[in-house]
Amino acid sequence: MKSFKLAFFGLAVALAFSSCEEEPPFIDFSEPEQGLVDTNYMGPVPTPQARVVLLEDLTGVRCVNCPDAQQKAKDIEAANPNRVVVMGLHPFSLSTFTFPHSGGPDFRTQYAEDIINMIGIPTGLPFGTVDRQLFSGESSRTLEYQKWEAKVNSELTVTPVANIDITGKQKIDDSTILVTVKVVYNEASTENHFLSVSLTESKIIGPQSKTGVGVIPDYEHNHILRTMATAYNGVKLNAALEPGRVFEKQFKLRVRSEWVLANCHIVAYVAKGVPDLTVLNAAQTDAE
Amino acid sequence: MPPHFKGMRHRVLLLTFIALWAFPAFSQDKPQEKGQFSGNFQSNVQVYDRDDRIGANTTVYLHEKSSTDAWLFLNYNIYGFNFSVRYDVFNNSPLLNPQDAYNGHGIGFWQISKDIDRLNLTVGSFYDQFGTGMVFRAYEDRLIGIDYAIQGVRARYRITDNFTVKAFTGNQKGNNALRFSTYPQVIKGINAENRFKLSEKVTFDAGASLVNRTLDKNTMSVIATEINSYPVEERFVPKYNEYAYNAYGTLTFGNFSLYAEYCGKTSEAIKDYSGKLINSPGSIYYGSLAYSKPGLGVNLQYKRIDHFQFRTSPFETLLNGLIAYLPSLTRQNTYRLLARYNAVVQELGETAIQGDIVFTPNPKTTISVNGSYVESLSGEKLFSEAYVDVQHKFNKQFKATAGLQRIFYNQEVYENKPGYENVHTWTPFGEITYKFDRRHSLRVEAQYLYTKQDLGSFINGTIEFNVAPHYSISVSDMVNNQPYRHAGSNVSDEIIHYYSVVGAYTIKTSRFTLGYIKQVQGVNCTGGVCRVEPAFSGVRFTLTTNF
Repeated sequence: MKSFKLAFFGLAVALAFSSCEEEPPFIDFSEPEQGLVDTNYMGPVPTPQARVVLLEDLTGVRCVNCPDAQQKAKDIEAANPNRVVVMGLHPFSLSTFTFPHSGGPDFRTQYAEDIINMIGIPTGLPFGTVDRQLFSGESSRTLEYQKWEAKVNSELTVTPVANIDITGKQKIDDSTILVTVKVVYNEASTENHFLSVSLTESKIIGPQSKTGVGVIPDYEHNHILRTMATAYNGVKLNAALEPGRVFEKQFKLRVRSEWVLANCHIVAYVAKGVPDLTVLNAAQTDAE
Repeated sequence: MPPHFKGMRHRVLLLTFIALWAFPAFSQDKPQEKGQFSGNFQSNVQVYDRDDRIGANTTVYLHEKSSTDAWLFLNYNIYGFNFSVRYDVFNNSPLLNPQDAYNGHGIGFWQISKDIDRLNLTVGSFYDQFGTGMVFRAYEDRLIGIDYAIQGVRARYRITDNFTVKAFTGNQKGNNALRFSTYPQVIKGINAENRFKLSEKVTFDAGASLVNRTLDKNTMSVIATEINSYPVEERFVPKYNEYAYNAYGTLTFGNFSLYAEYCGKTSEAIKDYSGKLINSPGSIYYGSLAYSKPGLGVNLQYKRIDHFQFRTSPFETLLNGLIAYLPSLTRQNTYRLLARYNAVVQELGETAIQGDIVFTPNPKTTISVNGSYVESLSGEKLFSEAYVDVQHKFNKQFKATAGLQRIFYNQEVYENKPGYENVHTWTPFGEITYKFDRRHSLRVEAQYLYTKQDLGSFINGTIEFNVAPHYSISVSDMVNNQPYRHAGSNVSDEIIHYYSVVGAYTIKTSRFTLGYIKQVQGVNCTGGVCRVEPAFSGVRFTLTTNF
């Protein structure tokens, strides 16, 4: 009986301790790049910019309704020139929709996966976020594409708390672009804000499933998130966020040779930290 | 969950409970065990009378003006099943956060439990603890607004009469906004206890536990974001899963009893004194030696805590989200001025010792002596208490108590008040009780707390007249007779009276009290768990009943 008792308890403890190995969150142990500008100071309070909205299109090459969502994003972008930045996220999750077609390009990135984990994985695709805002009356940040236009129009009326300018882009070598971003606050905030810098690519030809059609072999994919110069959730703006506070930061964007820089955009945006996550303003410029 | 679903869930639970309660009445054709129904109700109603002189000017004094807390608990037993439900009401309540007013009501506790031979299964909410509770304790202490009920499932199996194993998994009930919901972090645990009878006079009770808490993705995301904002050399990889474990045993031999416990904790992200996340394991060493024989009881205790912060998340502070129960290793005083300074346990690190002697030289006299000492791991003195009292029963009508207490209290640490001096007190006290006859009695107590720090010295006196079994009335006044104020204190620099008049009426199992009370700000403790509370000024009505 004694051995039974010990075995029973030992088994229970072993079960409780099982699966101790876990996938850790992303912690950036890379040493800050030497020689990059990273400063903040007080300057004049600027006139607020016209608000630029970030529209994240959660999408996949096997998602048959995603072309309709992409068309909607394109229409919204066209209706609001220079006021809407579209970023296409292809996560590893929802692989039924995102696993690449045979012979087709793989658009999935760990950055997209981390972002989608942060904002909440939707039940299917297509879905999207508008400034990662959890809108009143909605139970999730991820919205059906039919709701995007109204939400974007609502966000466009909001005065941004900070102006964002991508003030410099310099190709250092074949695989590195030096990006300079300037963020200037025109309102005070006691929240934690994070600056993210990413690279998107457009005009990539590859297969895409579409409802009623099947697989379109030469579909044009746009705004694909390729990489980021920051962590997926950005770098913290480490100073008192008060009117006139200026942050100037440089980042190195690592690019691959197969990406066509002429079709790439650099995107910068400032967002609140978890749990709010709301994107406060964004900016975009050509990579070349 | 959408609000209408939440409401629906509550209605379904209530209907289920009522149906189960009513079930025997509609099933008289089947032989069955007779069900047993019981319950209790408690309500506190407070009306706030702003008094800027004592700092009674939080939001409830400025805006809400009155508050109600109420709990109705119902319990029904039948066929080895146990059904429990508790409805909680908090209206304009400062109970959960003394600086704020909380509104919410709903089912705060529900439970279905069943005994199947040696197995007990519970689903819903439950309270429990492993050993002394230092790795896991789920309990409620409504006097200070805490409710650590676990919502989930628990199994307890008595393998033999001496060997019991229990295990559970669930989520801890939240606080404030999550009061009627649960924290997202999952907790699970297993515990085994066995009694070994080594000889006729020697027994050994041993136990061991393992508790695991898993962080949710959102919390981990916040942790990772914060860590990524630190300088690279201070960054670390946080863990989703935290494991706390302990082993403990009580060796009883004759009049002696020796208890020892070790608690450990794997590394996780916890907040240090500055509020910064650090990666640290934790440990507790605890031991006590007790000796008792007729007329004499001696108890010596030692405890060392090192970074044993075990909560649902590192972002929970004060009394929120506590999984481990770490009571203070100091005397729990009841007299008003003796209980004014308490050693709130320092989960990041402290060493504490306590000695307690109760000596009864003759049936009429009892002498109690207590001493305790607490210091930080770096050797900074935090708290000490020396206490002695003598109780003597002169005759059937008259008994008296007299004593003296000496306290050292590091106010800067315990109340997070930078620049405040250490508090040194001398407090003589006494109490007499005189029975006029079988129904009428008078109790008088008095304390004088002498200190040159904090708010200065106080005198407290209470006169209580009882007419058994129904009535009681007490009048007390606590006077800040030698005021002392720090710069920026929110208490007026004058001699202040904190007076109270309270009447109580008891009928069968119901008790009503009504009083006008002024209570000084400070640390309020129950069961060795403390919190800092603002002053109180106003009318308080309470009702408690059992059925």
